[in-house]
Amino acid sequence: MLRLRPWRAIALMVILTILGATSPLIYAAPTRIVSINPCLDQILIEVADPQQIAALSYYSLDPLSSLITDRAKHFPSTYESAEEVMALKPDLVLASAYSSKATLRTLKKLNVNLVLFDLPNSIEISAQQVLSIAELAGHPERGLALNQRINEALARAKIQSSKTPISALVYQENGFVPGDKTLISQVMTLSGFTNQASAYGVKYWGIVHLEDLLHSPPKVLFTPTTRNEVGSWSSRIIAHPVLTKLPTNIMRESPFPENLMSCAGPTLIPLAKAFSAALKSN
Amino acid sequence: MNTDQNLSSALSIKDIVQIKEDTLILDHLSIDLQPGELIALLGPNGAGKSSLLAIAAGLGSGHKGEIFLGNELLYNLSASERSQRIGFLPQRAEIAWPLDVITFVGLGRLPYQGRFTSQRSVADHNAITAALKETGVETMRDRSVDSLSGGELSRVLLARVLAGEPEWLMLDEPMTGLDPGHQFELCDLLRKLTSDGKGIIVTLHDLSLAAHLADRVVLLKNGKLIADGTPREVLTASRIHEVYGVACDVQDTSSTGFSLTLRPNTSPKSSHWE
Amino acid sequence: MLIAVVTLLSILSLASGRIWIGPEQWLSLDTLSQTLMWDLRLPRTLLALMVGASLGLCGAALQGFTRNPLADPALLGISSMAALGAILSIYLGLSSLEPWVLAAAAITGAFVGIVLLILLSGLANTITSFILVGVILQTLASAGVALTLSMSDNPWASDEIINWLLGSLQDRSWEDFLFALPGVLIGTAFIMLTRPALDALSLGEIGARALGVNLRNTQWLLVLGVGLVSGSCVAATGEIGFVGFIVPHLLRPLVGNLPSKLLIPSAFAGGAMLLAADIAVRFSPGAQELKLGVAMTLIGAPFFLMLLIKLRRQAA
Repeated sequence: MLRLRPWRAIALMVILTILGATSPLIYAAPTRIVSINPCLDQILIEVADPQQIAALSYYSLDPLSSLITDRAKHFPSTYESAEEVMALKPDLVLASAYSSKATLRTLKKLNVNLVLFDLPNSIEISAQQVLSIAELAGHPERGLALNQRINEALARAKIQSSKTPISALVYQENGFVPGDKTLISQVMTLSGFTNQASAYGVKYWGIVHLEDLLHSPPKVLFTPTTRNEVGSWSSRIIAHPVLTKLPTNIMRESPFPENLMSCAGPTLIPLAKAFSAALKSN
Repeated sequence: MNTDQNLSSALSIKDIVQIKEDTLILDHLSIDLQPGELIALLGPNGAGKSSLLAIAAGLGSGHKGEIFLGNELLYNLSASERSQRIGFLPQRAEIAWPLDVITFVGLGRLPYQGRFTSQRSVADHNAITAALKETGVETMRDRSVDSLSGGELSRVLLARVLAGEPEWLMLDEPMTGLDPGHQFELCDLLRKLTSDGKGIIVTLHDLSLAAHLADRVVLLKNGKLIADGTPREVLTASRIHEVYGVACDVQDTSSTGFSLTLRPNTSPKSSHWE
Repeated sequence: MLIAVVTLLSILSLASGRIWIGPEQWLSLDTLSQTLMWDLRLPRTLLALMVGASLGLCGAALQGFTRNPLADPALLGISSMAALGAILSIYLGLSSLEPWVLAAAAITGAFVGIVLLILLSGLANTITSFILVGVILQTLASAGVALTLSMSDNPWASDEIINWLLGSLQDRSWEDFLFALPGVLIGTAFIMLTRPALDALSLGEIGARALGVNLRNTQWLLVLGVGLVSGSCVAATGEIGFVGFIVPHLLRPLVGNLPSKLLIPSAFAGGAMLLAADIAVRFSPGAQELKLGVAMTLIGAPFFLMLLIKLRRQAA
């Protein structure tokens, strides 16, 4: 038990009170947050108050690439240009390190409070990003809660995975394939699959052409359910008849929602679920 | 040659008027021509000789009036029939590819060939061989046309026209660029063809040559018909002066017909460049 | 002789790829390899032959018609316009209406290209004016493509443009081949009908008319023919150039200069050439196959340079 002389106890209490009262002055939560990346949008919308969000990215309105379309509708959106961002007078701007370089340069020059996030390549980094954004928004506890939910979803997927993993490959437009060192691959392997991408020499992201695919096909091929342009090269390769011609015991196509394929953070919850569901049906 | 052939091949040019870009090029020209005649179409630059020749060959545009070949309107003939009956040699012979002589001459048979086959018939072979013989270029049959000299080329061009076995040959300035020897050689050839029954119209600049060569001279100036008759009738000193603005001495020599000596106009006032 | 070459190359093509499947194995293939051969390699081979033949034919026909040794559907901007047509149809959503719309749009683009070519350079053209018009059309088409892609939502837009402009036969399917085939067949028929006229044009426009050729009809037959053929090919493979340009030049010493006689051999030689190039790119070092259009440019550009030098020497 702590024994404090009375005057020391009173002093401590006074100091703590002062700190408590002034802590908002040390970190004032931003009230006009602009996010110019749809993946960051999804995290932001979970951890910030609606009135803190000044604008989201235009891509969050596209149901084919975003999970939060219905909610994103209620916020203003930008086309991710510096001009639009500045017009909103933000006190915090969230962007990806891969956003347009010109936009980022301009925002930096204008001394905006810009925070850049790299492409998360692992579950840990994704969790860190969730926490960072939550802290920036002034609600660290929500970040913790979100991470908790994500971890639970991942754990569920892991439990449901069987002992013998099935080889799989995520096959996006243009033949884009995520390799072992990507986030989506980690979730996939956690859910009970092995990533076939390494058979084609793909570590991060790469393109796998059909002939190579056919030479060592995965048992399950995850292909996006829809993409708008018919006839474009990007869709022709994933719609190639050869993918459906193989007997299902060698390779089978498993349609996969496209909007789960690119983001981290809260997307991991439905992502893990989708992988588990795919595992069951195979 | 008999009158029937005369009638069916007679070329009647009736009242041709041609206007291009608001300029009157041909002014109500009417001429009647018979096969077996060698007609020289003469006139200064811009008189309308080439235009008239093109129209007579069925290749003109922007003109009014009629041309009859025999009893039929030239306009009513199909393009292949027309090109079978009239062989036309344009002024500046364009040759796009270095073809060999026999292939080049063979192009003259195109009016007789169908759309789908480029197979040569026996008639085609015969016509080509005859044309090569007639113009004396048989020995050159495998040479490329761009290896020929001026004189050789002019004969090959003529062979191409002849290969089409036309009733009428219309040659626009065929003597250009030929030396006198080759010019006379070509004249002999043309005369022989005329005596074989073909009708030939040539445009010329050289009046002496016209006098030597032609059975008949048609003289144009500014699109108008100035004179139509035998060389002697048409090419008088006064008429030459009137049309060409040059002075001329006409001498009657019995061996070659008559000769013309041209001199520049002595009058200081007139100028050809106005 | 060309037929023998084509057959040999076809066999080679079917065997070639990341993994060699030689003829001796063909009778005892497992399911995977069978699917590979039937659905990937066979359409690829046939497509290479068809597109190569088409380009060779168009090149020979265009060179005959324009009397210009530089004529080629790609050089003249016709292929770029076809690509523009195709891309527009994709981004306007039209190509998702019916499967043949894409090919039709590419064909339309090619038509527009040829018509513009004829209008802008005229039937009687000089080599300079021709190249100029070709450059103009290429620029126009590229601008159009860039504009369309800048307005699109597709995150893969820049890869899309690479595919269209650099041309490739990789990952093509039977569908690509079959949708291009009707246009190619009909267009070829039209082109073949112009043979007598092409010969007659050796004598120039007036000379040709003197031989009874209807130049207007010939022009339209050629427009329709080349438009259909090159448009269909671009829809299947993207832009591939230089085949139509090189092949007639290679064949002239062997076959002669008469335009009509060059058409069919150019088709065969074009097919052989493109197939050979496609087989070669399959053995590209590195992970990615060299794009076929790029390979043809690497072969064609020096050839082009040689021809320009030769022409300048002749003119001098």
